[in-house]
Amino acid sequence: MTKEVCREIIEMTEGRSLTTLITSSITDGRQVPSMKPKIKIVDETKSIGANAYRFRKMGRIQMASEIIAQVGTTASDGSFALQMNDDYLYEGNVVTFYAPYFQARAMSNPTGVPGNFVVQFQSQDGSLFDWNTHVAPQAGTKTCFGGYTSYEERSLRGYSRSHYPDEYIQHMNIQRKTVAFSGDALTTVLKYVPNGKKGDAYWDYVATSQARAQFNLEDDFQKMYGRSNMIDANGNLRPAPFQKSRSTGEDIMTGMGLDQQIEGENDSFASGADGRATINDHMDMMTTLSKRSNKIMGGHWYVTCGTDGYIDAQQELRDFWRNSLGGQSNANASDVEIEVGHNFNTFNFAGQKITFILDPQKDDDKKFPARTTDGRLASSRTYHYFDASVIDAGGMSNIEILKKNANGVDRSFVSITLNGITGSGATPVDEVDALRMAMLKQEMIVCYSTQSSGRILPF
Amino acid sequence: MNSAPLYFSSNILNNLILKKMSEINDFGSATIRLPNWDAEIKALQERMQGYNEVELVMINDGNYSKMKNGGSSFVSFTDPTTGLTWGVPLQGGYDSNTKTYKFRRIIFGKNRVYRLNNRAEAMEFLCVIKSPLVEGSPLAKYASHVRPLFKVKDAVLEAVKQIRKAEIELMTKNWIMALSDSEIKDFGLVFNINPDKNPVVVVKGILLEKAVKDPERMREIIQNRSKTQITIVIRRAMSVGVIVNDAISGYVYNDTVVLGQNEEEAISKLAQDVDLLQNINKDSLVKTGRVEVPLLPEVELGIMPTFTTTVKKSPSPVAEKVFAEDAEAVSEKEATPIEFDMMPTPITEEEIFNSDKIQSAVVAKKSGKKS
Repeated sequence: MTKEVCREIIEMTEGRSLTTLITSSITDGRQVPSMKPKIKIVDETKSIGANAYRFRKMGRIQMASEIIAQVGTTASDGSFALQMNDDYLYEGNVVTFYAPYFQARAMSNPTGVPGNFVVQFQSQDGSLFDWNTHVAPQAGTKTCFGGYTSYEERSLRGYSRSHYPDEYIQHMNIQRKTVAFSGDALTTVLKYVPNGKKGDAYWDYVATSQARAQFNLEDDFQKMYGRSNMIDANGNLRPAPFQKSRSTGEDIMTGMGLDQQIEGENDSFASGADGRATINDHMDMMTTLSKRSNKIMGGHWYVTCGTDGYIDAQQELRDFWRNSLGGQSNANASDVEIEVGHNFNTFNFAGQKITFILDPQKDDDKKFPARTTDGRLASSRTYHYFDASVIDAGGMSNIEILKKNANGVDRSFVSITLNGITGSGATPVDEVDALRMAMLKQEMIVCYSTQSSGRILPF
Repeated sequence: MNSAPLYFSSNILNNLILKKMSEINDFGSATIRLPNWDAEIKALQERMQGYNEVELVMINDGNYSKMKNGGSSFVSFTDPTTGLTWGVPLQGGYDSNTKTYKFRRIIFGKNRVYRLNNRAEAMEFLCVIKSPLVEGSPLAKYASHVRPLFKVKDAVLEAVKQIRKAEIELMTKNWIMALSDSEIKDFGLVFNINPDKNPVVVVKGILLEKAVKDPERMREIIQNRSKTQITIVIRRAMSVGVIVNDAISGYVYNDTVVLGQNEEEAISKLAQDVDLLQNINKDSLVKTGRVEVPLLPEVELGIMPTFTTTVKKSPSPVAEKVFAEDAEAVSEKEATPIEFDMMPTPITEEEIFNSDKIQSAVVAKKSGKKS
């Protein structure tokens, strides 16, 4: 190598992938500087051998019961009967109504048929049940809730209701990229110095280096914004892919990105006068997500946004710190320079914490050209809240990348280089004057606790 | 179910808010323009007569979507066209220095019910339907970065859809039942049912099953008569070797005439060349030993019966009313059922519920013209 072909190129390119960095173990620093993953590294045990991953989530284990009407009138001893749509309540349930101060005990098990079950009640304090006061003010479906039970001494038996968990399925996605370039172009190389350590310096072909960078960006896009072809237009999971390769006839399967996984869970709109998300928007989102979380305190969300969103958040946090917390700007003076301010990237509120992360791809106006009414990039000011909690005692991370790996076949990243009659040192496999590099990966990204994730959208 | 607290359930509070608003509007100095709530609520209640309650539901209610929270919130939306800000101001939320309001956060989501005779809930509902997350929102055009996730549930519309589906199922089944044996065999070709391997009764059974399973798809195929007939001719011709699918040339007739690389191209070509189509039809019928069917002009081969029926327009879909600006016009549009021939243009939901078309149909009917 001569110095001329080994020049360093300033790469004015798209920002590098973030999603794969914060959720997965990136060990190869060729295209991205070595960064510590923000979210727990996926380990080998998170490999699966199937093309789909089915997991179950237990939702509510107590339900409201639907009231249809009152049967008869209320007796002077506080007894009354209600026609119920379901037979969820049982004898012994103490039930609270829309007017929460009014409670009554179910004195009988439901009798009847679906849509027309009758349950006998008696109020707790002998007060009289009044439909117009205790039930009618509830808009829409009228409900009551069996909050606890009470039984007599030497009671004969108790009851319970079982609930089944919801089943979620996420699917694998196969991504590929192949690059071929002539032997003549093999002399165009790049020198990389990872982390500035000259001892680690290496060189790479410009073409393969670019292909790998593209592959990383595509992977990042799929993991964040991929739309599944395994869900139909009505939101039903398909039993099989409907897209088939027109060349081989094989199924094409695409899994969901994180955006689709959390879309429709908790979406709010920014309320700032200039369309920005205010500190109150973030507080409200944290409040909402806290209610959805299975944690009382100590929740932690990673909030990805573009540069505009990050700057907006900086200003909001700075003002909050200064105006509400009495904070001061720091000033570190050296001989000729004064550094003022802080990098506000974490917000601690009501025992919960959010950390803002700058996602470079959200600033890409070629990838996301949609703009808000003030002409700014919508994606740059879109905040994705990801619950970064560890979700079980075993230390399972809420967001994981699962790779196809079984029987010694690891398809998380496969690459081969096929050399032709190029003159490079590698053994040629044919007489084509070219070198080819092919890459493939089969993975999926899974967010288990989507109900405690959300989005703040600009308008 | 997400239920938003109703901060303004008291009429006293409502009056206070409205009084405050009117004061500010009188000053004419506020930097935020508020809607005329009295007029807006009245107009909403008038055009929604018959609906005491309206409910928001998720647009897609499939098994996956059902598991979503379906929660959303906002503070206010300012319509760039009208300049009106749709939000519920907090009591005392007017800042005379900045001449702006503070609005309360509105939380909404799936299964949220609004009582339209309740002033506070009607106000909130009018704001909610401005959210780009709600289907039909007039502000959706300013937020192409989000897709609608919610819609206003319309029991009438749902019922109409079911009735419509049943009607179409019945019509398509009747149409299939009326086919002759040779027509059944031909029509089965559209679904790749091999007439040589399946008796007519089996083909008929499969077709009826498909009509029940997806009547709308069956209707589209039947109504798209030209394409369906050409498809039948091509597939029949291929089954007897009149057309071959060559790896290099694609679809070739009589070893000489290239029709296209794939079936779609062949259909397009034959739709333009009726003589060629007639020849292929004739040759394939001769090869199958069937009696030649006289050909009709253009692409009308006459090998399938026509499919004509009458569809009554649905009664008032809620979505039309929710977003309608002129309640009287909407009411009039609903008044008269219309009739139209299903041939040759396929009927779509848009056609059924498109107010402009309905309006013109109504006008035509009133003036004695057949629409």
